Amino acid sequence: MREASSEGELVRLALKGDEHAFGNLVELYQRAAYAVAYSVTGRHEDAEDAAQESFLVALERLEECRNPDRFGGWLMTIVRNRSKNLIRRESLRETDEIPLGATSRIPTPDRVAENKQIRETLQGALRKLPEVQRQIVLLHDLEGWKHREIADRLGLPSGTVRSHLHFARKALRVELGSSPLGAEIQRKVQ
Amino acid sequence: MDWTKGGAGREGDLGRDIELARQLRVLDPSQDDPGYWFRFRGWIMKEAADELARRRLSVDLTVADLLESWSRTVIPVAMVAAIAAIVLMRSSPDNDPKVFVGIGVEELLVREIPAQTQPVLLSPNAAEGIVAFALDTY
Repeated sequence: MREASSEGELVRLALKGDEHAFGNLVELYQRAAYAVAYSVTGRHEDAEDAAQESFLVALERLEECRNPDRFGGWLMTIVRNRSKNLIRRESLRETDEIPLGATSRIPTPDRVAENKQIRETLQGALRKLPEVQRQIVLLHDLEGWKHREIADRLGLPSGTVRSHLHFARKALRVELGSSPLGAEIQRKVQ
Repeated sequence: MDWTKGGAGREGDLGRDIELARQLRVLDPSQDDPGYWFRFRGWIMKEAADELARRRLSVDLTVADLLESWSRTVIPVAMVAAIAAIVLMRSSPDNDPKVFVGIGVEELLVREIPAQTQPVLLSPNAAEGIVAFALDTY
């Protein structure tokens, strides 16, 4: 699905206002954009806002995407920048932190309550990782991207991606293993 | 299970860690809300509608403008230039610019006027027509 040629073609069509092509680009990268935004913001609401806004910004500035075949990497840069800007704005506002997942549009109360606790534990573990490691582990282990794809989209050498992934996993296992909720998380996810 | 050593689902350090993937899946908003990604995309498409429409219009206008600019400017100018060239070529007996200059204003003023002398014009016969009618009236 992420072949460079089709991606480039989608971008070229979107440049002409092709709704279907832009929709395909959104579908192709929405989860990755959210994962990257989440790795920066650490909050569902912020990640959602940053990821969605990033697609709109990308569409408005599509002419600036010099290599349409590498739209994904260009989009991820926008997502990271938007996410960082959003955090900066949020910190200036000094608003109260909204619990993760509190605004799910179709809430299923019991499950949300259970998952909320698990999410908070995972969130705490992820927060201790460097931002780049969070991005890599989420893109790889949550979204299923390959090392080469992550390296390509994040503009990193493939070896660096593998190295970051190794250390991120190691740190996460230590964090989750030391958490009292570790066993609970394991039970829930199985 | 020892969380520090990974589980049986692991494909190895460099493959996808299935166990970790299962844990991280809790962070996927669609876990609690199956329609999440559909609405996520829908919101973006709704907000992007104006920009996409602008782009479509821009593409249409580019082609239309090109044709219009040709019809409004280039074609009339070319036609005027062609007519002017034809007129100039017909008005001069030959293409020698010296001859054209030599005709001068005087010759242009008398061209197409019958070569009649002043006495002829003032003769009684010349008073016929409009002038004679005017005399009868007053």
